[in-house]
Amino acid sequence: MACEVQDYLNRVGARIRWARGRTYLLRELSDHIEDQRSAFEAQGLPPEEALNRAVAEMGDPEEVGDALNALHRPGRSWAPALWALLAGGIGVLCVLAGLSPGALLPHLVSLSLGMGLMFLLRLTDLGRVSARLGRGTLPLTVALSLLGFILMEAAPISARGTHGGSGPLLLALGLFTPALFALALLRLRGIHGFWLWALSPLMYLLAAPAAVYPSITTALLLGGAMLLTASAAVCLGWFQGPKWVGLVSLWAPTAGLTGLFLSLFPHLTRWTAFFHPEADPEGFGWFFLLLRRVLWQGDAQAAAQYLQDTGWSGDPQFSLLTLSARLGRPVMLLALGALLLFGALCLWRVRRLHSAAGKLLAHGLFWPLFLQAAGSWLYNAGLSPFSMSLPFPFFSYGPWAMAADFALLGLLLALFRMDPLLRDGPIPARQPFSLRELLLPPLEEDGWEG
Amino acid sequence: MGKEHGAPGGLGMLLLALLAGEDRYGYEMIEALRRRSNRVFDLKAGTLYPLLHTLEREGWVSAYDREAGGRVRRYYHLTGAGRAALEGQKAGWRSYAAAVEGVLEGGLPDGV
Repeated sequence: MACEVQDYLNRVGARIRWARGRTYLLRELSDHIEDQRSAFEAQGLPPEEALNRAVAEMGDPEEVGDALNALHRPGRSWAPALWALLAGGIGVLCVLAGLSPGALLPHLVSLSLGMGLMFLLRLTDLGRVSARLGRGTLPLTVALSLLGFILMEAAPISARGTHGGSGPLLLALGLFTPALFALALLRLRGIHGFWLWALSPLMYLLAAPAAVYPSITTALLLGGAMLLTASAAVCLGWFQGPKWVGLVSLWAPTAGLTGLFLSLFPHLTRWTAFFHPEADPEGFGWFFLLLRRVLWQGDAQAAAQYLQDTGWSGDPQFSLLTLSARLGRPVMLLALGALLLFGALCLWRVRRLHSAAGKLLAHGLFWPLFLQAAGSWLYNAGLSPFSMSLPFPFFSYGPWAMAADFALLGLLLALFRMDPLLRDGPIPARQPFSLRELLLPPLEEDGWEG
Repeated sequence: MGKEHGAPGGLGMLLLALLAGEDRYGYEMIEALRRRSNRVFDLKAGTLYPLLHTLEREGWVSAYDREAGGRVRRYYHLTGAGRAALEGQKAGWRSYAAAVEGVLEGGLPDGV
């Protein structure tokens, strides 16, 4: 690049404070100078004069730099991070105050690891990651989910009946699968919504390692997060055709399978214990009966019994329930308030993102966090028949889950930060969908040879 | 061009109008504006890009990179919201221009 051009760009760049934005903005100005120089040369000016005039045509570099600097600042949204750090801090206080059975050192280590990951991943440029992966995103998604499945199967079975070894880590890594799914959706822009039923096998494959662990709740929350992410994509106009066609096509296979499952297994032990715990007071029903006495009736004796009989000594991960048994029912109400506020805060911020691609990725990062929190709260409140293998995000430890939750939040913050530079690009031209042509393909006029 | 207080439209409206027909990149827009205005509007790139980025932030245009002639260029596209804004600004401008014309030509009879 000629000295004059570089000098001009350096002077403009010196006024733009955001380094990532600077690269992007200077490239556009550099392209413009090149276009202008070519035009002057085409008009007959000698190359050197054409270049000098092209640079002069750009305007005062300081003024241009100031104008661009005023417009381009990294997006800021620290509220969700502060919320998470507050939850983490309260968790530490609980351990310090002896309100939970958790050991302080592992808790602090996992919290520090998670916070470090959050601040590091906040600097990620997911738009660039998506562009780099390109068409390889979908095969990579399938390959990673198969790898997760194989590794989970290979992990040894622990005394609790779940996969030990790398199992908990793989389960926590599963929280990233909706984001991976969202990256794959980015490559499917412009297809007709009718074809979205074909995404169901991919969603089931991505949720399979969690089901193998086995953690049905985690598999359900991952599947739900992917369905909600794809639904958001439909509502954002990411696919062609009427939105209702896309939504019906997306939800129909899962709704059908769920209906079939419930009709085939209407009397699962868990269902019975959940809906009629008094019918099984010595088995699964015991837990639900005790829990309802603690939380719903505020029975202090039941709370003491819970602390004596359950995880206080055995389970190192303290939960909202153990804390409720110690401090009373307001714990669950405060947790519900925090959960709803966190959800509303994140969704409000996601809604303000400029690009549909950014919103789509943000949904893929937000829903696993929110559904994990909601699932954990529901289980601890006695409102879910299934136990939860993942903790309440940011609060109770479980080193891998806490690190994964903070990492997800870090990536979400990265999207908020890079929002001014994220672009959707043009909608790829695709053949219009026609059910009639799909079922009755037109005859080829010149297809026959006599 | 000085900006008159209360006057609708402006350079933003002209840029939106340029994008109404087709997606364009920055240099192409300056050239089209110069040509269509018979060289009355001769924008500097330093004026164009901050304005385009403001329109983008409003959600009235969107940008994307496309390869053309062996080079990747940043194209600008008029969004649905931008099209609606353009129509609103055009209506405002025509009403304003008719009012100015009326004053310059001595005005219309009351009630007409």
